[in-house]
Amino acid sequence: MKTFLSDYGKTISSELQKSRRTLSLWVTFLFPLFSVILVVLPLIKIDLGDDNLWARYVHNLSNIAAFFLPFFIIVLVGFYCHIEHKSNTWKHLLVQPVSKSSVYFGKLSMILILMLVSFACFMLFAVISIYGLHMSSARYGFEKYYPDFGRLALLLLKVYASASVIVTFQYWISNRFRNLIGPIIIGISLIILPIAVLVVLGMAGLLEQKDLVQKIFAYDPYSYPFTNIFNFLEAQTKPLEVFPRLSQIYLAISVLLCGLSYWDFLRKDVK
Amino acid sequence: MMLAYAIQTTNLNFSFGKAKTLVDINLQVPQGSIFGFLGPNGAGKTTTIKCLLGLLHKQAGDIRFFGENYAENRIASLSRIGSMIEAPSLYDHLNAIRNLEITMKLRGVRHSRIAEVLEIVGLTQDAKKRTKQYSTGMKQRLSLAIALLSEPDLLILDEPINGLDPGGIIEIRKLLIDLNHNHGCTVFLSSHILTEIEKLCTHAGVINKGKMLFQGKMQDLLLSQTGKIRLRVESDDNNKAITLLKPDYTVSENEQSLTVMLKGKEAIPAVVRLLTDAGLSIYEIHTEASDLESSFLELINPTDL
Repeated sequence: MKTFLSDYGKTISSELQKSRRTLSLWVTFLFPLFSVILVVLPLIKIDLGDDNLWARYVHNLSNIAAFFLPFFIIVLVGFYCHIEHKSNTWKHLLVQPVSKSSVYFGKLSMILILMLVSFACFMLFAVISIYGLHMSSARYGFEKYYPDFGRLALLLLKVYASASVIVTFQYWISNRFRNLIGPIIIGISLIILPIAVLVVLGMAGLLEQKDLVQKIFAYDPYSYPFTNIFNFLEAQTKPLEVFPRLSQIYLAISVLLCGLSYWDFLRKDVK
Repeated sequence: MMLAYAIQTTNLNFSFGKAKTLVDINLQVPQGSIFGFLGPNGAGKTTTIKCLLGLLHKQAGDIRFFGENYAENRIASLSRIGSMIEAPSLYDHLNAIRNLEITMKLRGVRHSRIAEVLEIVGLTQDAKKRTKQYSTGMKQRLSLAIALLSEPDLLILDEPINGLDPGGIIEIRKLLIDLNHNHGCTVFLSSHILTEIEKLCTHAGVINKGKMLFQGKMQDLLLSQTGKIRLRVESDDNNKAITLLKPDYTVSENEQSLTVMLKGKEAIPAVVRLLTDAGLSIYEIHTEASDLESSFLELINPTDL
């Protein structure tokens, strides 16, 4: 265990070094920035009326984050894993005197760190944009309502927590494929798969069954971040559960996927 | 006490699908040697190196570094080995220093060593340039610098002089000889460039179609494989010597000496006796091994090349 921790520390340190100037790092910052801009832009010209603007802001940002999160993860993991394939460095990495487990989990941890950074950027850009709007005009009404940053953080956390299967599965296939396009196409196909199923169901005349539609989306891990937050916001369930039962099931599945992927990693020949 | 081999394999086997790529490889690389690993394309050189380092999972056999079983001592073994396999493994988006820092962190090497290895491979001036802008030779040298970073006891280099200009080849040759002579580093390298192997290596191994055809001292490969040697003789009357030798030997005349082709070193005393009995004074006599290329071609079927 001591050896693993020592090797793990070395691996994380070297992974941090190699993540400099990479597309994965850019994506980490651009995803929250892009999402916040998408929420802020319509607010500039909107007729505010008497609405609680900040409640709407939190609601919209959570929805947008949830909608784009699977795409973000697919691209982030793809780009990150592609660093070794593109540089032809797997063979170099695996002849270093560190355990293979530390290499595998070090890389996975680095992806989780980048996701954490993107989460932090979400909060940072949200705060900056909210205060920016407030400073630009009094009509945004900080006096009447105050933005609930705590709720925003929890909602975003809920969105991120529902993506565990996407992370582990994309990590597995991105390590497996030497090219970047393969894992991205597979990931995006899995996002649109339930829509295709719906089209087929529609043609079969089964779309009337609302429960079935909901189940299709809920049981597709690639749609789950969106359905999870959407259902929550619609129902306004209280208290806010960051890890509802289905998220826990998905987390268990992702642990299993992680184990299989690690087993595959150990057996893989580096050609 | 017998010194353990730096690398020793016992019945190492590997297959790609049903095709047997390595068949019972029993490699023995003595400590302190510079071992040249020769073979035509597709002979199994890179596959052997990848199996040695655990990048390919061997089907059968035993691998030992410095007497220690690799499977049981992977990390300890790798900490003593620097390697460079096939094309350079570099992060193109980073400069040389950052590339070296990645390996430095994984190997727990002191930071000042980076400047030392850059100096050794002559890349100090270009250390802050992104490796994307490097020529093939510069990339090759940086890869070598990475392999040298931890001051390894064993260097495993796959085609280390590929892409280097003549000046670069000479520098790398000097460097490897210096590492071997002054730092006791065992060097195991594969190469297609036979003249370089001949100049550099103390030992050699020849592989073809996944089978070891020869391994041993370079001199043995040059001398005993073909059995043919060249004897250079300088006497007080070279013309008379040629007349005496021609009936029994193939002789050619050089500027001040003559070359006699012999089937083996056992024939040398007879030549000397023939000349001295005829009253000739011999000023100089020495063997010249037949060159590596002819030895290599004799081991490998030329159609395999």
